[in-house]
Amino acid sequence: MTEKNEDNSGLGIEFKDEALSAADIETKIETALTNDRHHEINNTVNAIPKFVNQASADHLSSTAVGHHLQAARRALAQAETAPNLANSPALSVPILGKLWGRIREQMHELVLFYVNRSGATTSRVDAQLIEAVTALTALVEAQQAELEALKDKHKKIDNNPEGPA
Amino acid sequence: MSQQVIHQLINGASSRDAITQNALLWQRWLQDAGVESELFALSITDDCQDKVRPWHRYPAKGVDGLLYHHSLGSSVVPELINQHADILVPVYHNVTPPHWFAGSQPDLAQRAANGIEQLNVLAQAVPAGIGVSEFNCADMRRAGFKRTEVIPITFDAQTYSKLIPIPPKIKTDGPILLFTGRFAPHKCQEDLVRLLYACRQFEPNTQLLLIGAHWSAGYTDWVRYVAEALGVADGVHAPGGVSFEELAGAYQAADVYVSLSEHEGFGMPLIESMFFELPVLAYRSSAVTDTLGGAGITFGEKNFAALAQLIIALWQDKRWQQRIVAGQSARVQDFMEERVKAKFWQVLGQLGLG
Repeated sequence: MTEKNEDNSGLGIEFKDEALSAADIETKIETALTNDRHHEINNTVNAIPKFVNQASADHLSSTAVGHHLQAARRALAQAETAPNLANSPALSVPILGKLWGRIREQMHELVLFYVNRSGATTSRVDAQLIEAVTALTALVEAQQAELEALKDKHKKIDNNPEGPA
Repeated sequence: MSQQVIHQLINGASSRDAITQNALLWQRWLQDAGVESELFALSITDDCQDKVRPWHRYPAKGVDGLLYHHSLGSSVVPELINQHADILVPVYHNVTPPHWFAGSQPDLAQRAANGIEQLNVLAQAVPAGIGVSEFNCADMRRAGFKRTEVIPITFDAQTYSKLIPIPPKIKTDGPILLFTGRFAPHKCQEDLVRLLYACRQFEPNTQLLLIGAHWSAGYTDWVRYVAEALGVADGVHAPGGVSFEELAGAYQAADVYVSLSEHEGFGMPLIESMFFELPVLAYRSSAVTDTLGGAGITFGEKNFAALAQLIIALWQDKRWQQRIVAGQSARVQDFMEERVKAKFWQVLGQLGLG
């Protein structure tokens, strides 16, 4: 026997089709999905909380923090450095000058290879730290909002000690 | 009679940026019609230096119209209002509500809040503006604009037709669900992982392909955590941002495009999916309903178990898929160059610039 379930389709489906209606599909879903299965699946996935993102933008008082984080992200994107070879009188010496120029270029490239590798590691650490500071900022903002709400509540109690909080 | 001059201003120019691409297309339409038109930007990446001019080169006089593409807060808005209000036409590309970033990127939340505030300021200074969707125009009217017109973002099919798609390396006999968009809390990739878990209760080989830059490390980590906690990490494929060729390959390899996003200012991936004949299933939020225009399948509740059944039913019914795709293919024509170009000139005419 096929169990008929109520409200299991609960999707509010909308589509345009000549051969099928939303009601047909909802019936199909209801037939296929037993109540137990429906609740078991939804309870499992909904047991994991949503990403914490609900700190109110109204409480983003830390303009300076926001500015510094943005600047840090921009700087991070430009962390790699390129060779910077200034002109040298030695380069104009016939034959040897050209050879010296090439050796100098290769040496700069070699040093930069290791510097950039080391820099990349530092950048990864920096990026992680920026994320940590960002998360902490959000936490502080949320706590600030909570603190203000508690202050308001406290004030109401002070003003009306007999009444309900 | 002197040549008409209509310039455009964007905040940041980059060749992969949708606003830049749209502005460059408008510039081409204007120039083809004999209008003098340049694109200016506050910051320009190296790959755009030859197409876009820095804002400080903007000519102070002799300009008939300035289309300013607005989204996040910009330092240029006060200058536009003080010096160019008489010729200014804001083009609004939407701002994601700041609360979505407050927990992960407070700096971005501030820029978003600033962008919304500046929309109100712009509405006080100029009466009319353009939105890229009816959803955006509604935001503009709430901000105080007396008159708004829609010019949708153009879908440039040629960009994709020249490509040789590179399909993702996923082997499965189950359905492949696709979502494209940067990893961000409002895009709700975590809900797609929840949906994957639900689908796997009925089709254990279901796979989820999440294309998009890992833009917020904190949120990407959270999505990974949800996948591991639900034991479906092996079915989540998140290669990050990909080339156009790989993106086209992903659309062709997938079985269903699923969006559980809570905020889309326009939703270009919906158009891409319709173009690539991929059935679209989307949560009705923000501009999603406008962009789909009755095509695809939409739903109003995130009931994961029921949604999984819906996906399986659609995946198994090829005829239903074909009918959905036929409706989508008709809708995608509304975003092709010919139609949008006609709308562009109609709107410019109504604003006294045509």
